[in-house]
Amino acid sequence: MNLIISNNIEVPIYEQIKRKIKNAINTGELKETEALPSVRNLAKDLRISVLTVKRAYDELEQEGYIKTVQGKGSFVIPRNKELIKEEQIKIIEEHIDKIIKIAKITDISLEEIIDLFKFLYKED
Amino acid sequence: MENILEVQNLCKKYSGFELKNINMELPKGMIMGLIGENGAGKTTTIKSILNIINIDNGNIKILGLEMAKNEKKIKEDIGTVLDDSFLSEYLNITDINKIMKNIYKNWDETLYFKYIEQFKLPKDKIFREYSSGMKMKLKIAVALSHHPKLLILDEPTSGLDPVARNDILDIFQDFIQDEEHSILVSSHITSDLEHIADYIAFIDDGKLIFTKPKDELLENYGIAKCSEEEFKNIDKNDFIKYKKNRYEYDVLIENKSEFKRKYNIEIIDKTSIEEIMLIYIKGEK
Amino acid sequence: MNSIKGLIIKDFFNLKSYVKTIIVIMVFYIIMGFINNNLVTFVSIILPLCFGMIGISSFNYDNIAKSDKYILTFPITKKDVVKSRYLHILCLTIVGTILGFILCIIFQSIKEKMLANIIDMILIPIGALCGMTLIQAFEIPIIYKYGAEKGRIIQMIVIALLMVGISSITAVIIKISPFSLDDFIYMLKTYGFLIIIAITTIFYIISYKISLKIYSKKEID
Repeated sequence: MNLIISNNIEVPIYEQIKRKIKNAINTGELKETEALPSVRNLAKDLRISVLTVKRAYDELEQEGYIKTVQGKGSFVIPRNKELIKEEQIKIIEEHIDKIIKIAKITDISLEEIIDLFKFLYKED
Repeated sequence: MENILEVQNLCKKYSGFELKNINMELPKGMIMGLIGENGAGKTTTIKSILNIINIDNGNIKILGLEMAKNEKKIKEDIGTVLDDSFLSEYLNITDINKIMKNIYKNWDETLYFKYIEQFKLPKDKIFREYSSGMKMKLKIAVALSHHPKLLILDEPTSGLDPVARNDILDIFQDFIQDEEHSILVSSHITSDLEHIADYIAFIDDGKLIFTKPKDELLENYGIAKCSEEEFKNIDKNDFIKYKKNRYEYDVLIENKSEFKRKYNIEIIDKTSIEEIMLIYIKGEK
Repeated sequence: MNSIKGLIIKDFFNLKSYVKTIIVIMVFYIIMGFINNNLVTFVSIILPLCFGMIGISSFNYDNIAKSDKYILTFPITKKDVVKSRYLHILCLTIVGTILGFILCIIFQSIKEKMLANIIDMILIPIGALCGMTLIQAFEIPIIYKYGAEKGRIIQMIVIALLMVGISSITAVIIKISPFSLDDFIYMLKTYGFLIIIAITTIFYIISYKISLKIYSKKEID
């Protein structure tokens, strides 16, 4: 799992860890029921404080991504495929919103955007 | 969370210096960084906690026991490193082992020599001939070899080069892998603590300014850079201290997001422990 | 008790650098003993004195390493610290006395004819041991109170005063008492030295109690 964090960006470190782990779960890099590194281990590997990692894990647990079992560690929770899709759609919607806003500023028509979309989608 | 260390109303008066009513708590499994200028009272606090000096008032609890009544028992579970103080200048590592075997009930020879090996400490030299980095590592090896639950370290990284400092932070994080273990470490090199400390306790002129989780500190504190006009509009209660520079006022604030909502100031920088310390000490109100 | 052992071992290990000096001193006095027959018993006085002074130097080693506060982080009490120091110094002085006695015996056997009688050979080192211990009994509390550096100067003054004091008191006693000097020497050789040992022991214990009191109140930095 890619867990590179930066001390020099505005995003707090616990937030960076959260994002990276969420991403790894969503892309399937972290499999269901797979164990995460222990809080203390991760703190050491990233040279950060235990409380920082703990906060990231606690919030991931609250958001339903992982589950921490006392004495055993933290694991990825098996997730509902529909739920994941719903979340992804939400993200796509946000991005499309931005596209529409930009398009309206510069008077680009819906057809033009759709064409562009089709073109890029295929190319990918 | 259970506390491994509790300091209540600690007072100690010298002629010319006074430690005033220090209160702090260190939860089990955590690292607390004790910061402050030289002479602010860090070492006096540590010496008071360890009952090396006779305190005037206050209560120290370690591992749930009162220090005043259980000193010997408690000290079996503490490993200490003091900046400028050691057993003797003229001993080598085997001598030290023979002495320490008689000092701590739980002294673990094998573990001690494992650390000696791991830290690459020379066996044929005496302490006096060691470099400052090696001296510190030996002190830490001695402090760790009786399986302590609490490490208390006074300025363990001062005077060391970045490589040695990095090694020592590694040792601390290894120690803390066991969640029963905790560390109280004083330093005026705040960048070392900025990485690994869970809590920061800041002492200035014998007074404890705050103890806070480090993340909370770094997330909420900020420095607003304002012009003179902007500064005049800020309510005195909304900032901690300020420093007047040539072109702008650096204003230390305790709650960035609230401040942003209230004032229309463009630049609010995130801050570091060092900056917080600096403006506290040098700034005005 | 174990931790006291640890501290005494530390004090002894610190002396490793002294081993050479000690050997040089002994060789010097052995040679002197061969040259001058009058110096034969001198070795049994000089060695307890030397070893006693080496014992006191343990304070300097602590000073250099600033070990006082470090040692107090161990599971030991201030009482253990003071007790171990007194025991270390006493041990060393006794070792010096025994070494001096052995050297003296070796001399005598090499020289073929006895230069001193056997009672002198036993009593002189014991006297030296008591004398040195008595000096230490005054010296150690002073060092605890004023530190090894200042203590050294005060210690010299005290020793000088002690010497003058004791010799003038004895002179006065001899003058006013009906006994002659020979009577006193006879007394010393019989039950008198038992009294001296008793007095020394009492002084040493009182000295320890005073040092403990001083050290308990001391601000260690």
